[in-house]
Amino acid sequence: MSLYRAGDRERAFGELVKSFSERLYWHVRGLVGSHEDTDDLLQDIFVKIWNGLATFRGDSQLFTWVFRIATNEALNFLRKQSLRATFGLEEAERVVDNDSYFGGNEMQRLLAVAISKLPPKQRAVFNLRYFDEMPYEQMSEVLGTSVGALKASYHFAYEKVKEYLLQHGVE
Amino acid sequence: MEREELRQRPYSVPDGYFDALQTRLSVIPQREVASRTWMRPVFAFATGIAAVLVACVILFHPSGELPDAMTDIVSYEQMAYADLIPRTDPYIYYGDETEQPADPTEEEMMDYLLQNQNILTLNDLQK
Repeated sequence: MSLYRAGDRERAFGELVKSFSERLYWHVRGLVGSHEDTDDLLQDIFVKIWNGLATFRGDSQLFTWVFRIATNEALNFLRKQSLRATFGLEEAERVVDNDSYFGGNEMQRLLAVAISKLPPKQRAVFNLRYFDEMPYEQMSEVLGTSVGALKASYHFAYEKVKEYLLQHGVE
Repeated sequence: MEREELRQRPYSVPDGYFDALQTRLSVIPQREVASRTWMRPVFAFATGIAAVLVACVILFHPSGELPDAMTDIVSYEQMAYADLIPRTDPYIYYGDETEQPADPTEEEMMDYLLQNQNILTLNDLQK
């Protein structure tokens, strides 16, 4: 941001891209599932980041601000695809099995299917906590939800995923 | 669920994807500035057209309602020719044509006669 305020806006944006693009990719990928959709969304996300930089007040960390934009874009995308927002079992399996960039074993495949069945926002909570180990306080700023609600949401999501894995022989 | 392998994301990306992604994303500032430069005159033109249209609506339909055709033509003509109406005879346009001027009172007649001394003198001479 110091580069941006000094007037070197494009270089500042370049640093942002370098710092956040890969992390944002995995975050969005965990929500929408498809590499192609993730790639498209990242374009939109960074356009919004560029346009929003001028009005970024710095009242939150840059990291949480950027993640908030990315999460909202991904959730809006899923909302528009409302038929896919909460997968039925067959649809969730189909999405994972048709993903040519899925390289996990059977256990990881079952986990991916279970996560895909979660409602979008609950999916975001689960991914941020389970894979990224994001602190609840930071997650609260990203998702705009209270810490208590996030803990409850993660607990329910964890139990649902665990039950699905147990049903399919994974302990 | 606590197994280490489960905590690893099972997805992969094409080779060199993130380098190419950063290159593609880095041109966003130039693209956004260029699109805004192109759109500025278009918006200015559209705003100008809109302003002209609004002005036409206000000038030709001041009441803001669709006018009754005959009423407005008469009103327009009244306004158009208002300056040509002799001020000494306001009833030509502004009065109701069915309205007749009242007969002068005796006092008005006396005033009229006193103001027109030639007439009095002539009457006096004739007497």
